[in-house]
Amino acid sequence: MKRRLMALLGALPLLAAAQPLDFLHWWTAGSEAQTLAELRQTAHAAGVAWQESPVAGAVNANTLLKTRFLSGNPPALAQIDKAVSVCGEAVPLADLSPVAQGWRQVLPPVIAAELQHRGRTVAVPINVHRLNTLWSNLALLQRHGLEVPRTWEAFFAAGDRLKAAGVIPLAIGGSVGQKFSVFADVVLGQGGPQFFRRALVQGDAALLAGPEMLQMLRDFKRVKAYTDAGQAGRDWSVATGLVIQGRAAMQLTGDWANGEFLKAGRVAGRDYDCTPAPGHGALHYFEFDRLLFFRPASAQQATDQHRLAAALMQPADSTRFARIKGGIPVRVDADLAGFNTCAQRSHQDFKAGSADGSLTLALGAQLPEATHGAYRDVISAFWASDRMTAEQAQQRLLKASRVID
Amino acid sequence: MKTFLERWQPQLLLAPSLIVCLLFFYGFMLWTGWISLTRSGMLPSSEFVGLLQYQRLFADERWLGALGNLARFAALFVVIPLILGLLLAILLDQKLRAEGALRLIYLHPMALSLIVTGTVWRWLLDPELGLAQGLRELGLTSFRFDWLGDEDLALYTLVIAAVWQISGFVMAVFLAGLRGVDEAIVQAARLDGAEGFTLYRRILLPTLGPSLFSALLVLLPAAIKSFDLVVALTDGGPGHASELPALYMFQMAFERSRLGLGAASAMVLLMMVLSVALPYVYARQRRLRSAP
Amino acid sequence: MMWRRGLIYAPLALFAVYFAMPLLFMLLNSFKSAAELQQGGFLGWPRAPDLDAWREAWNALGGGFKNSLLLAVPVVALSSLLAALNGFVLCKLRFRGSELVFVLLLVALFLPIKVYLLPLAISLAKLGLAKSLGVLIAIHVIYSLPLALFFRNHYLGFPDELLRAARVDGAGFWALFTRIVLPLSKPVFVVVVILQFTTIWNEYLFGLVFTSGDSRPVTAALAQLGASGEGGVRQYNVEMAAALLAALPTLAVYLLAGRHFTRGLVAGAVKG
Repeated sequence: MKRRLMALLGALPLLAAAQPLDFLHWWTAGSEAQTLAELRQTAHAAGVAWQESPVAGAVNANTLLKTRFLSGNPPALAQIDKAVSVCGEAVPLADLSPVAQGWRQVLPPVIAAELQHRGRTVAVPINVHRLNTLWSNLALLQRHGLEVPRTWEAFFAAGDRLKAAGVIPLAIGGSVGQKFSVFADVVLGQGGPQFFRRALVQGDAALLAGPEMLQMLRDFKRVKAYTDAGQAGRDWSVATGLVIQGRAAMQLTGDWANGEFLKAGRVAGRDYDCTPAPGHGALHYFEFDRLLFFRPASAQQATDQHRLAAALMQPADSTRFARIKGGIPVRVDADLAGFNTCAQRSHQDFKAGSADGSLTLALGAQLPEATHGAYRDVISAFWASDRMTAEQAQQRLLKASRVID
Repeated sequence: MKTFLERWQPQLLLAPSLIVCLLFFYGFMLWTGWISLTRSGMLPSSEFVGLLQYQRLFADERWLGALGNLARFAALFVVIPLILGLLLAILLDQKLRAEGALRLIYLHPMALSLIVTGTVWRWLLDPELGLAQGLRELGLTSFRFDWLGDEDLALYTLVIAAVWQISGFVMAVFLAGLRGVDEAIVQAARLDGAEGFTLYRRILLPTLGPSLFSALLVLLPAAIKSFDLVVALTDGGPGHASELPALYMFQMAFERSRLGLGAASAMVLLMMVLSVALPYVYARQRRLRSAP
Repeated sequence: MMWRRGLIYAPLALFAVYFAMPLLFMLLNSFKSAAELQQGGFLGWPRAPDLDAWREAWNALGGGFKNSLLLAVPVVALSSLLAALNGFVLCKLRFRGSELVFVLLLVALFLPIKVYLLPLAISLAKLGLAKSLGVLIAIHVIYSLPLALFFRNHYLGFPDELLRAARVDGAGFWALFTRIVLPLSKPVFVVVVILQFTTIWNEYLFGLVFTSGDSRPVTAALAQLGASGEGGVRQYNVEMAAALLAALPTLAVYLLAGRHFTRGLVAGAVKG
């Protein structure tokens, strides 16, 4: 009796000051909603009360987030897909450093750095998605005597043969992101991660204006000839569908496509393959889902935030999130049992890349919104226009690299 | 003797609405104008930069393209529904039994969310899987309709969908106008021998002046405000070939953290509207003053 | 006589096809499975028609209907009455500055409401107003003020003798307005109500920003269904069903308003 009373008394302060953490996110459907359910479970298990503000669509969520910044009531934490510094410049962030001590050992340096703002840890990673995957219909390729291309020359050669046979060599969706993926794949495949970083992230004018970038732009545009006319407005998953059905041979997109193959009952290594993009070797180019924590309104909230952050980074939970979401775990020491073949291969490359420093983070996560957007505008316009020359595109790319706000 | 209340009645009645209007429309426009002169990024800043944002704006091919597109789009978006709406209204005015049903068919597109109808039209106009494919299967094997992917023609897909959406409403405006004519006048004209075509030309159509004005009052702003349809149907694509200013404005302000630039584009739109509205009002003033 | 009817019905039927086609496809595709649409089968007949999409759509939208009605009805009622009053004053009561007010309202009509999103959010925060349906209603009524122009336009055609006669009979302003002017404004009300209801019902951005979770209007929920990121898969069949559901009230408004498209609306009053 006494013990129960003591327990109850002990819980009172928690109940009294229970100001739930407001969580703004856009994971409202499909595997994303399932992942959110897992997050919710972890939060509850850690004794953290939270209240969700779901907004479907990253654009809407970001708009809502910004209006909340302006009206002076940012959420306690939010899902973001921009560089942490973008929000950090605008609103005060939380300090998760007390619980983030051990994170450096288990996270790749590139991710650990991205979680920091002005020397303090402010965000928690949830899951990693590989962006530079080449998905191919093995049966279709074999029927035409082709292997999965490992270089861009091989890709173009394969494309020519497939086109002559009446097959769509590359399936592509209509969104800008799909085109930008191809561009990033060309740059990384022909220039490597160092070039990518210096030219596009740091905006090195000499590299951007140089002959290699010009050739990359030409090759990027060359890829268009291997895509079909129906790409306007096409969903990425419909493009994947084309590969699954054998109407197209390949697709360059992130690891989320794996779910579509699995849903259709295809087997990796037999029906389809998931290799790094042409010319990438074992390079791992990725994006990662993360939750940004904002300055807490009270000491209680601060404690809750710390507890939550720590709970989310636990090995078992962290791995589970990735498996449900369809990506790979963010910890390099994660156990990949129960993950499918493509995910396991991806995580191996991820670990290797972390160790040798070639692991490359997506542009969208490193650049200010304006710069990233300006790049996308150039690539989108260049792909679409039959009148723009590679030289003109290069000029525009250079101009875009100088956009900051 | 008019009391103070009576003499100032109009102003007093209008005052509350007017004050609110000034604050919420023009007060905020002034704020937007101020922002367009600053270096605002994600959030408003007070760093004054003069006309920098406007310079950037007009150095942006994307914006210039959007303005050109607006001119082409607005011209078609105003003219076609006016003609189509008038035609349909005249036809429906013939005391048909199916009038109610037809009216609903023509009017219903406006009830459907633009986001979804944009998607439907995208499917219908899809070069590989849409109506073009349907026609190919029916026998016209070399029929192609690649407008969606064509950088010169994509804009006109927007016109197809937008005309579809608004013509029913324009028809409703004209129909209400036609039906508002005094029955006695119509009867008198009929007794005088006017029938069909002449009846319309001499009596009914001239009364549609106010209806035309109402229709324009809806069509012109709608052209400038077009946003959801563009996003859903073409997303401004291919590239930026079917981009419209409202889309640019929203993207710059909310998706690119370039509030200053977004504000500048809004101010340019405002100035464009003013440059048409003010001469129009001035012309009216002169006409009113010169009238006896 | 017969061929004349044909001459009228033929173009009407042709246009009816153009107007009805997208709706028919929406209906058709709402009975398909998401996978079927994913594979590009949106022109054909459903392979195995089912109501799954409708069920999911109803779940996603359900609560939003009530909110949308709670939003749309007050806004349409308030804004159209206010517009009638303002339009009448602007038109018939001669006063200095009426042209200026006309211009102010005219230009205000042309600006995209999205421009005001940020300043509104800031102002609301400064005023300490919390997000709520009431706030959203107020915002919509305010930004519908330019509707007065439609009424002004209509009242321009009103014969002054009518109003003067009523005045001589001793009618005050309000009696004049409510007993004579309003009833004669039916055609404009029909048009304005159709326009307003549609606009408010289909508006989603402000609904998203200025209300929270439970009080979100239906189209905010609808917009949410349609949004998806680079990794999300869209369920088109649910979106179609949801859009059709969301459109029902507006279509009902059109049906009701349609009954007023009969000739002689102004006639009787002027005579009598």
